[in-house]
Amino acid sequence: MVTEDEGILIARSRSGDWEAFAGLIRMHQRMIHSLAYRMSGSAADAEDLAQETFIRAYRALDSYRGGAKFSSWLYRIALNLCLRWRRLEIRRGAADREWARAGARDTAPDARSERVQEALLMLPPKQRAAVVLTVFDGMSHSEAATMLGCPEATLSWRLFAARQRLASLLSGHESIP
Amino acid sequence: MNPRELDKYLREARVPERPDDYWSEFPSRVVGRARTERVAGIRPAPWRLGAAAALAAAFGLVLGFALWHRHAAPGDAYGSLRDGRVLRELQTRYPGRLQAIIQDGSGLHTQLSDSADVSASDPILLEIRDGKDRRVVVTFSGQLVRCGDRNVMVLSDLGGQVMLVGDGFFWSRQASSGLADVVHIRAERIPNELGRSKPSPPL
Repeated sequence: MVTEDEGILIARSRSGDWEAFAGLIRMHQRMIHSLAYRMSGSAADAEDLAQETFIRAYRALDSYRGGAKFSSWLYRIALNLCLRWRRLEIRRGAADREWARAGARDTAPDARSERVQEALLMLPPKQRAAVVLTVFDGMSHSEAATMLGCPEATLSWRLFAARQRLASLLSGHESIP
Repeated sequence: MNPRELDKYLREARVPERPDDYWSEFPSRVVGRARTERVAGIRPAPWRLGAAAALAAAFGLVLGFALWHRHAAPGDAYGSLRDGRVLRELQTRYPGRLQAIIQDGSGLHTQLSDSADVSASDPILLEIRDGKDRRVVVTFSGQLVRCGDRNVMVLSDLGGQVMLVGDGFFWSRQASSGLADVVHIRAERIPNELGRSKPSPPL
């Protein structure tokens, strides 16, 4: 389930070749950063989450058996970290949340992107993950359900609820604070 | 806005651009961190701590320990943990999650809570000698640590007195019971200004 080049890089990384591991990071860093940004809304947090993802992947490299795509394995590590990050974020004080939101405003590429990102951040984390996996990263409902470890029906329901809320937020029926 | 229009609207939202330098340097930064941790030989503690361990499944590797380790005398774990630098770095790195730092014969370990729920009390420094084994621990009031063959809770009163309490076990500087003869304990609170770190946004 891995490309030939990727397989070589994985094998070399396992035997302690740092340059090979850097090669794996280069192959997947944009995908992981993008996921982390969609889930966190902060460029700085996305960087931390991406770094932590690769560090954890390195530690667990021996456990990767090749049964799934390496990118999917990596994606799952990142997704779990992002969902956990949300649990930590909820415990932040209001001042910290405002600081993070200001950071998101500073880094969003344009007004529409900023608006979408703020609307995404208003969704419960698992609904947000459902949107990110299917709408942004193009997974099927079945693939996204597997990635999130839930039944496909649950995934579909989360997606339905998320779309309802996003439509309301983005069409102005509900205000984004 | 129907679902198709919504999806189109969402997909047109972009993520922040980063300069090319960022993408070329990011792998080096990650590799640098991974190498540091590997050189330090830090790995998760091999034991678990009772009920609190249910929240503390994650044992982190310690960034930058190699540098400190190089400067510290091999047998001076007590002093190097007492000066607070390791504690400050780890508290900054894991805000609200650091339950304990443990230095023993196999290296330096951290014990982390899964969530940021560790109260910000004054740090407590313990040295536990059990026969030939020696363990130096920095922890906080209310946390569980391993002492000999049992888990004990570390407590600190308003006067700064440190107590270790477990099943059939009690230790304070003045009195102790249920303690094997070969176990010797030293404990003190680390002064605030040494152990306290400025809060930083959590991951």
